[in-house]
Amino acid sequence: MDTNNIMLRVEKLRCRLGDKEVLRGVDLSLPRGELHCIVGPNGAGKTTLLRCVTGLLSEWHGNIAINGLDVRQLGRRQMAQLVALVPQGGIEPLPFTVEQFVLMGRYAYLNPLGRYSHEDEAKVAEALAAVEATVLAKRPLNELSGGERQRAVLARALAQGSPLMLLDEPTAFLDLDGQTEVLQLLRNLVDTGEKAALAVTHDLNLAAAYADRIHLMKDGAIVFEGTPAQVLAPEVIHRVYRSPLQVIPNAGDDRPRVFIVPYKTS
Amino acid sequence: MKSLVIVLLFASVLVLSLLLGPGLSFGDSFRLWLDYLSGGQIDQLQAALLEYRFWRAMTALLIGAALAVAGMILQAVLANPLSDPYILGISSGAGAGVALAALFGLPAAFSAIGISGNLVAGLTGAGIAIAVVIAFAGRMRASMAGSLVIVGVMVGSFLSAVALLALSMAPGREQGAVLLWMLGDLASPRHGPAQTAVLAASVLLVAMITIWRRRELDLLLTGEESAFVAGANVVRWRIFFIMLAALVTASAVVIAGTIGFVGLFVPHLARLWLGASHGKLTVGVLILGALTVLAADTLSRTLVFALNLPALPCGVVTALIGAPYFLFVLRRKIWQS
Repeated sequence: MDTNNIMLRVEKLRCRLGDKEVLRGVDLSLPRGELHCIVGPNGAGKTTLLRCVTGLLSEWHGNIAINGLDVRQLGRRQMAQLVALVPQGGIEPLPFTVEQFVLMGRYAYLNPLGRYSHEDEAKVAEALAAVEATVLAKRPLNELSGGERQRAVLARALAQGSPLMLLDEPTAFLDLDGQTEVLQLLRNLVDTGEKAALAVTHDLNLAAAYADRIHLMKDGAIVFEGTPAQVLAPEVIHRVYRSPLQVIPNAGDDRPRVFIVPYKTS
Repeated sequence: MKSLVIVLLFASVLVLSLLLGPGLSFGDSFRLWLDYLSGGQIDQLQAALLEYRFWRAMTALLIGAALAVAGMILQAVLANPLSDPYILGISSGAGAGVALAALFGLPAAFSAIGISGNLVAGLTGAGIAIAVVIAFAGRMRASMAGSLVIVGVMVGSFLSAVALLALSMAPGREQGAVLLWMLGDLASPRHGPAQTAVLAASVLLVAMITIWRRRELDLLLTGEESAFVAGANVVRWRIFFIMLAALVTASAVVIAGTIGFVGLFVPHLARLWLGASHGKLTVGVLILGALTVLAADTLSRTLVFALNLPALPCGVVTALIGAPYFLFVLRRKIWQS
């Protein structure tokens, strides 16, 4: 693989939170133009991994490089220009309008006088259109539904214009249409070839349907990494999940799906 | 429409505060003001009374603006809707300073050399409180505003205890004045052109910086992690804004003591009317805060006179009226959720 094309490279990442070693040597590489998903049980270290990459956690060992740049050498603004995060749990329903909130995504480009440029406004309009939230622009966040608010959060991350997008359970509050819209949006974003996205999710089937590769995490390490067909194989996922699962190797899109089958008789 | 209502309200409260009060009836006050402003001859004592009312009104306006803007800043910086200007222990620090000064007879010593001992002691106490809080803030990770509130509350509790201890040991003639000041009052002679000028300068400075750096406040209000990933240096901005809030709060507290509740409910009311974006919001908060304290002080002064009360601290009035009114405004929001 061409190293210049790697958007995110994580090497031997270790991180302690209190007494617990939450990440125990994580290696991961995400090329430009690809969408990867991280799946795995609660407490596997998925969110901690994203928090290390964004700099929200700084007490870690190993190497993290975004677009070939060592994150330890980067200032906050440079980081924000390289990586955007859609955090877990959405946003407080504050009385900001959607437009005001999305404009905050342009903070890393703000001039010293505190004014946003026409380009910033154009990026906001573009981001709102991408998540089909243009009609929500003047509405306050506290009057939106959970799904509409999640679209505003997504638009803010898009407006940031960063080549690397990290998402922590971006579909947690969304109905079926909302879930597919978010993943399709990410797919379109990376398919332009300029960007890369890494999404943490609990939904194996969304990951199977949209991701280029899936990283399976357990106890602070990536235990398996591969294409959806490679990862969603019974012998692989049973290393991580105890539930009785049935895998269909090809759901008609050359990708596998997983079902819970509690009363399997064989 | 909204702004017209505010301007009319503002003008009428200001006029009332200049006309109401002990010593002169409403009608006499009106005639005297006309004479005074048109340069006519009036009694020196009566002129002094009018001037006293004017400076007291100006002080009330500035105190209200100061406390409200400090509350707004801290609610954003701590991303905590229950924050008020005193949450980080600033007022307790000033209280401890003033009470200790009373215990050791510093005011008399200072006034001998022409400096307000209470001003120096109060500012020193507030400064020590905020220095401790900032020492903690500087060592915290970005996502620690919750712990910062706990540090502030602990510093405040400790210094309140110090203040009460010093007060209980202070000479009896000092106790009453210090206690009244702690409750939040504009009646004691701590205000005048000089103090008002200092307060005016700090309010103006903080208001301008706040409007200039409104984008950071917007981001901090959405939460520290949200601000961090958008590219804001959260730890640095947090310390910067805490220092701004401390500056206006301390200059208000040394004059008027702990006038409660303005800094808590005014930012919330203003956000309901103007939205959360800190450009317009700051202007609204300054005006609404100024209006609230002027109205409360006018009311407390009128009631003291009309009901012949020994004292009615302004801080008591703001909370007595502010708390029920705030619940009334919020009732629909609370019942809906």
